[in-house]
Amino acid sequence: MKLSGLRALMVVTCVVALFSMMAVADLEHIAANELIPEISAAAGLALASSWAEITTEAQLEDLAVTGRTIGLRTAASEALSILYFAKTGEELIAILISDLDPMIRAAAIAPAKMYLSAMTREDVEDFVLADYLKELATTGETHEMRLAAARAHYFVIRRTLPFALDELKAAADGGTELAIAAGEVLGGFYLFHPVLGKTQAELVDLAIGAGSAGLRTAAATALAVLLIQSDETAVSLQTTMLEIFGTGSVEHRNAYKFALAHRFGL
Amino acid sequence: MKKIALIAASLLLVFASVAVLAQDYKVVPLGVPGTLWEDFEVGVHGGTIRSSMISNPRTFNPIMVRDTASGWLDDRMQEALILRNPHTGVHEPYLAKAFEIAEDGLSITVHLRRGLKWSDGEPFTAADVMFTWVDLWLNEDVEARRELWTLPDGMLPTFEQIDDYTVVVHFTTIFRPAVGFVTGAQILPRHRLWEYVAKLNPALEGVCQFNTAWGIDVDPAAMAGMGAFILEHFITDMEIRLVRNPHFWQFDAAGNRLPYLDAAVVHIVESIDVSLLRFLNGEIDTYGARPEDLAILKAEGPLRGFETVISDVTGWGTAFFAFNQDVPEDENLRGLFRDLRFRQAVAHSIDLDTIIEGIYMGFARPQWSHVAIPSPFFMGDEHAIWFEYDLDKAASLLDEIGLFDTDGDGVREFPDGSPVTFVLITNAGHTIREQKCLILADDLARIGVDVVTSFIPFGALVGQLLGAEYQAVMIGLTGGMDAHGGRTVYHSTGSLHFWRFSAGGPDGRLPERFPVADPAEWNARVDELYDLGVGSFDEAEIMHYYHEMQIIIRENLPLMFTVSPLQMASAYDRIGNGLWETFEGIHTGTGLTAVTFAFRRDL
Repeated sequence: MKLSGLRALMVVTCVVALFSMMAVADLEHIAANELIPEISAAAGLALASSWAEITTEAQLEDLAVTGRTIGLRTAASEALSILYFAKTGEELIAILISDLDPMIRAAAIAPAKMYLSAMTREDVEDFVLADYLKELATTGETHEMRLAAARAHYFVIRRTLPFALDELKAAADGGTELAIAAGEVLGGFYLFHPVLGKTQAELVDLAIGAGSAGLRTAAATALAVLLIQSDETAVSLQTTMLEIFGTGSVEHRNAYKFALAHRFGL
Repeated sequence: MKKIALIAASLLLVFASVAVLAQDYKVVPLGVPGTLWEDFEVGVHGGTIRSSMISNPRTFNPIMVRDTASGWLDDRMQEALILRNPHTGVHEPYLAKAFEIAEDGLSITVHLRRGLKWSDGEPFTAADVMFTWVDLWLNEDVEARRELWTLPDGMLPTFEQIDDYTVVVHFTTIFRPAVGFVTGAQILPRHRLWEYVAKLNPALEGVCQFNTAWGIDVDPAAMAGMGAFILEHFITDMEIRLVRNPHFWQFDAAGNRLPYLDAAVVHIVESIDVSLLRFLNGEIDTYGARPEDLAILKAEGPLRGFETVISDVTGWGTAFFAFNQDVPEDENLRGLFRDLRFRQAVAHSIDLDTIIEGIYMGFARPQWSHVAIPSPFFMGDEHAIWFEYDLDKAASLLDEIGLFDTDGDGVREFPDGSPVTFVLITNAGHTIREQKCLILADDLARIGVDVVTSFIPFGALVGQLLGAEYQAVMIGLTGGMDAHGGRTVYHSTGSLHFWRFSAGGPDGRLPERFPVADPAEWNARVDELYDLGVGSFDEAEIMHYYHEMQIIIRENLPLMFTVSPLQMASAYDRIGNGLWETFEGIHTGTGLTAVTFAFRRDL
């Protein structure tokens, strides 16, 4: 596509996004009262940046656990994640491997991935970061620790992936944290790769029916992007979410959750 | 009809703005339909843009710049008289208001914009231009790279000041690239730098201090520039902060003085990985995307609010395999690397399709010419000489040379029984180059050539290259618009003629170690074409020379080119004109955003 076309698309997208943004109070109302969990969580995702500015870490840690709905707990956990970027790597790892509530541990995943992706170990001879992360993604004490390490692993080895796509597809075909992280990257390739690229219909089929969580994650990752870039409105997305409530797969419903969060002003 | 009316109205607005300004300011018609700038937006003042680079600048002295980081900063803070528009290839006046080339081609008269001021408020005049040209560039005490200013007859240009706003460059022979290289040099403030020049400052007692002036420890208050930004501070390994030049001489069509941004901060990060992580985390606003980043960027961009665009234009660089035809202490290899049939065999062994599809996922173009694909001097793929991927043909050429696998171990031998093996180096961590090496080594192994790949630190690689100690290398060079810039590489006396320094004759790089050899006949013709290419302003005539040169160089394969990747860039939606500016940064070879027109949408 020509640059001018892309520019026009971007401007339109921004304008649509601006007019779709909802007030914090409206989002809080949805997060607190919506019965469809993915819609509630989408509002929570969109609330996070506002909450991160006005709420303390202690309050968020409390809300992430005691929030009455998934939307409120998501908002708190995601806001906490923003605040956790100020923590040291050691502090983040301590949270990830703690016995704190999973919603609190989840808040440490994104900042820990950043820390792990660039870490060095001068105390270990012949330290190879990618290998260390792969090991940690398998042996880490908690799901959140393993997921952070797995995501960091695929970030670190991303340079090798374009010439190892068959291996990536194979790695995504599973349910482990490494498979989920591989699936997230594979989903990126679905969006532009001349051979791997998929249509929206193919992505929907895969997000619902692929045989493993990793492959469903791959399809859902790409589907979320296509939904965001589509002309679907917040209303039409919610209508679909109502229709697919409790059906298909978690990953498929999550794609709509992220797209709706974007429409809500994520 | 409606469109014409719109364009007319827009141009009227531009001219009205110029009239209102009543100065020789440059008006950039951002967002004006029918102009090159129609895809840009008129912005708003304020805010900061953040980007990153992976090395510290080494100097803020434009004439001493030898590295990318310093060059990028320098381009933000200083300006030239005339520059080639990267989008059109046409030379345009910048600090100059206009210029004329004399009918005999032996002089260029440059008229300066009037009423401009340096960032510190001092007037910009011809005295600054003469200082830059005569007291700095022509001053033998100053370590300026005069190689590209040297005329075919060995002379340098001379300069004349007519009045406060008119200067003339004189040549003893026609020197076409003067418009790019001489009038394209950044102009420096006399009032800030004269005291470092021995011939102007008796207090220095003959010791020139200019070469160390404006080093990284410079007090920013001691500097001045004509660029969009000025230095506020530099903290080693941390950040560089540039702030708006309050006297910048460019305006948008609505009459707003550029740049829009209050500041541009460049974080110094330890690696490209950290740069990408910071971008993904929203800590920096723009990122020079690469093919291996696309999966992550495409998947995360829409959610996080950034866009990644892949241009249909390639970059300015070249990437190639090269053999050291002066390779020391191995007569077999030296003879082999000098044998055109061997280089042809290697060229037939480079699997460009696998490189493009496998490494670049289709986002690259095969490259055959030494001239950058976007350059107006590039003669186009319709004239290309391709060495198609054909291992049978490559094997036949090796047979023809007399290399056979006499002991049946799968590796061919030289007539003296020693195996045909060499070390192919590239810089460690550059995964794309490493992969190219592995792909070539695999293919050459299939035709009985043993390649040992070795990935070494970049500094060590450059040392081996310039010391002519390597055997084979995979590396790249940045390029520019004017094909004359390749003279340093392809002219037999060029300082980067690293594939055969010994061809440089008495002025070559390694006469003490190798017998001085006249350049090969074809290289002598290339030398001649470089001289002819600067000897005329007739575009059709000079294109003829550079086209012949491209064919000759391709036929003789001193370097075996691979592919040129398409340009990619990512920028957050909160930055207006961000993607275009990022592309502009890539145009200039930095991958960093140029920031003159960028603005923040989220103020």
